Amino acid sequence: MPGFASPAFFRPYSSSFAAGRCRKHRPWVLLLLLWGLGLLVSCAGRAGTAEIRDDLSSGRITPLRLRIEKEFASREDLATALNLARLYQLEGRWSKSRDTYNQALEILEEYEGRAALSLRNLTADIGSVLLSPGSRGYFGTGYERSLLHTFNALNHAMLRDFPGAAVEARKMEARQELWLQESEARLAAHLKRRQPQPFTDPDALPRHATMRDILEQEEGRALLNNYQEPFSYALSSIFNRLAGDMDFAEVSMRRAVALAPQCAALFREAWGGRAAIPPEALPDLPAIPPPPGPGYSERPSPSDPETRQEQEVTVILLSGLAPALFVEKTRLPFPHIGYIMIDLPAYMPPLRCSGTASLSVGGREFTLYPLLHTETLAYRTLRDELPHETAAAFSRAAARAGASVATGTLAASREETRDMAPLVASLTTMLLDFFSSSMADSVRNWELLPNEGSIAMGRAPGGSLLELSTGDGPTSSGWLVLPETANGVIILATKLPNASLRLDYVSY
Amino acid sequence: MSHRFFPAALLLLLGISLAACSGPRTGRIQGSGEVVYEDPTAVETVTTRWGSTDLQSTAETLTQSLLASPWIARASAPPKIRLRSVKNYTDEHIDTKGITDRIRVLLLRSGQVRFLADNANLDAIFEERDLTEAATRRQENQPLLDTDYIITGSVRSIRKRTRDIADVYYQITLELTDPQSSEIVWSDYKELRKVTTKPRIGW
Repeated sequence: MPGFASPAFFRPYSSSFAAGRCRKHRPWVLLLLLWGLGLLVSCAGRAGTAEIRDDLSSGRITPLRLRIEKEFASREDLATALNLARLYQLEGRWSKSRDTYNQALEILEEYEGRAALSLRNLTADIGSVLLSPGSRGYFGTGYERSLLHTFNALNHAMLRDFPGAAVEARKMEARQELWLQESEARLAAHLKRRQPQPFTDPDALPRHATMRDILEQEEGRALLNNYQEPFSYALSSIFNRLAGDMDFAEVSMRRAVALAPQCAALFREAWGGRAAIPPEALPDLPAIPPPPGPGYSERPSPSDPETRQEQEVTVILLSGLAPALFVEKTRLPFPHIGYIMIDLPAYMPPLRCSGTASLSVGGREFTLYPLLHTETLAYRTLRDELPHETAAAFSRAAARAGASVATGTLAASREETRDMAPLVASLTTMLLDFFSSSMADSVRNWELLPNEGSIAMGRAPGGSLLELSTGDGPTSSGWLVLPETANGVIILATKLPNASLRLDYVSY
Repeated sequence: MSHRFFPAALLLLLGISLAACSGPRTGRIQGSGEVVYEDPTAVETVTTRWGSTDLQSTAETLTQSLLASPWIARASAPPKIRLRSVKNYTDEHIDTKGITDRIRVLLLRSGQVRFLADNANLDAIFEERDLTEAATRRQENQPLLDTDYIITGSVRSIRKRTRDIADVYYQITLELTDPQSSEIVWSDYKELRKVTTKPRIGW
C-alpha cells in the first residue's frame, strides 16, 4: 500500500478527478463540507459543562450570562433558554428571567404542536438512529418541562405577582396530569401483576381511583415515572393560596403530601399550629387559612398590631446543580474498519452542597424540608430510557459500520482503489465518527437547574432576624431582617457549591 | 433591435412609476419589515389561547346582559357601580383588567350607570387628596366609597389535550352585588370553546 506522502497515494483520486468521474458529485461533496463546517461552527464556542460549573462556583455569573446570551441569540434551543433564564434568576433579574422562561416555553410548545407526522421530527429521528443522538434536538425531559413552570412561578412571586405565580403552578399541574395519563396504562399493568391492596380490580383503576389513591400506593409511586415531585406541588399550594384560589391550594397541598408525607408537617407548622403530626394522621391536614390581611394588592395597615407583630415566613432554598447530560462515547476495535463507536447518553454527577442547612427566624428554629431531588428524577428518567437509547446506540454503530464497510467494499471492487480499500473504510469510519461526535457534543440539558430544593414555613414577628446557614463552608451563611409591617415574606435562598449564599425576598 | 429594447424600456418605466408612487407624498413611514393594518374586530384564531376576539365577545355579551337586567334597566337613577377585579383561575396569563376596562367603557357609553374609581384608581385619588389634606377632610371621601353595586367576576378554563387535539373551554362569570345587603342581584356567564387539531403531515 502506498504511503501518504508518495505520489501513488494520490494517483487514483487525481486520475479520477482528471477523468471527470467525480465532477458530478462535487456539489454534494461541497454541501456535505458546508454542513459539517456549519455544524462545527454552531457547536464551537458553546460554554462547556465544566466551564459553566467553574464560573458559577467562582461567582462569575455575569460573564457567563453574557456568553450564554450570545449563544442563545445565535441558536435558540430549549436547553440554552432554560440555562439563561436560570442565570437571570441567579442575578435576581426576575422580569428578564420570566421572559426567557416564556421564550423557552414557546420553543417547547412549537415542538409539541408539530404535525403528527412531522418531517423535521422524522429526519431527526432517522438521524438519531443512524448517525448521532445529537441529530434530535433537546426538548427537555418530563421533569424539566414541569419545573420550567415551577421556576417561572418563582419569578412571578418575587415580582409580587401571585396570580401570575398561581397560573404557572396550574400549568405545572396540567403537565403533571399529562404525565400521569401517560403512565396510567403502565401502572395498571403493574398493579395487575402484583395484585396489591386495596385495589382488588386493577383493570378498573384508571377509571375509579383518584390521583391521590394512585400516588399513595407505595409501589405505584415507585413505579410512576411521571416526574411528579412534592416541591412543585407545595409551591403551587403556597402561591394559589396567596392568589386567593383556596380550592386549588388544597388540592396541591394534598398532592404534595401524597408524594412526600413530611409535607404534612410543613403545612401544619405554617397553617395549622405547631404540633408535629404523626404519619398515620396524614389525612388530617390543616384547613388552609385565607391569605393574611386585606390582600396583597392593598397596603398593609401599620396601625394593625396583628400584622405588625407576626408575619408568615416562607423560605425556599435552592442548592447545587443538577446532573449534566452528555454523550459517553466508547470505541471498540472492529475488523476491516478499525473501530466502532457506541454513544450512549450519560449524566455528569450533580454538584451537591455538602452541609446540613439550618434556619432560625427571631430565635425560632425552622425546619427546612428537602422536597426536590433533581438527580433522582434525572437518573430515573435515564433508567427508563436506557433500553431505547441502547438500541439506538447499537443501531447507530451498526449504521456507521455498515457505511464504512460499504465504502471499503466499493473501493475494493475497483481496480484502481483496491489496495486502498482498508484505508478508505477507516477514513470513512473516522469521518462519520467526527461528524457524529461533533453533533453528540452539542447535546445539552438544563444544567443550571438546582439539584435540591427545600421549603420551610412558619410565623415570626416583623423585624426579626433571619439567619440561614447551609453548613458547607465559610461562605454558606446569610441573614436578613424581616420587614416590620408586612403580612408575610417569601425568601428565596440560592446556594451554589463554593459560592456565597444569596438571599432575595418579597413581602406581601 | 427595437423589439429588444421595448420590453426593457417598459420595465424601466414601470419601475420609475412605482418608485414615484412610494415617495414621501403619502405621509407613510415604512421600515424594512412588512406591517399592515387589519380590522381589530376581525375574528382571531392564531392559537387556542385567550385572544382579542374572546375579550371583545365576552365584554359585549355580558354588558348587554347586565344592561338588560331590571336593576339597571328599571333603576330610577343611574346606579353607582364599582368594578372589582375579575379573578383569573385559568392556566393562562390573562390580563383580566382588559376585560373589566372594556366592560366599563361599554357600560359608560350606554349612559345607564355611573362608575366609581376602582381599587387602583382609588389609590391614585387618595394620593392626590393626601397632597391637599389640609383643605380636604377625610369624611369628604365618603361619597367615593358609597356604591350601589359592585361587579366581580372570574375566568375559569378546562383544557383537554390528546396527541392530536387540544380543546379549551372558558367560562367567564360576572356578578352584580349589592354591598349593603350582599345580595347578588344579577349574574351571567359567557362560554367560549376553542379546538385545534394537529395536522397529520407537516414540517
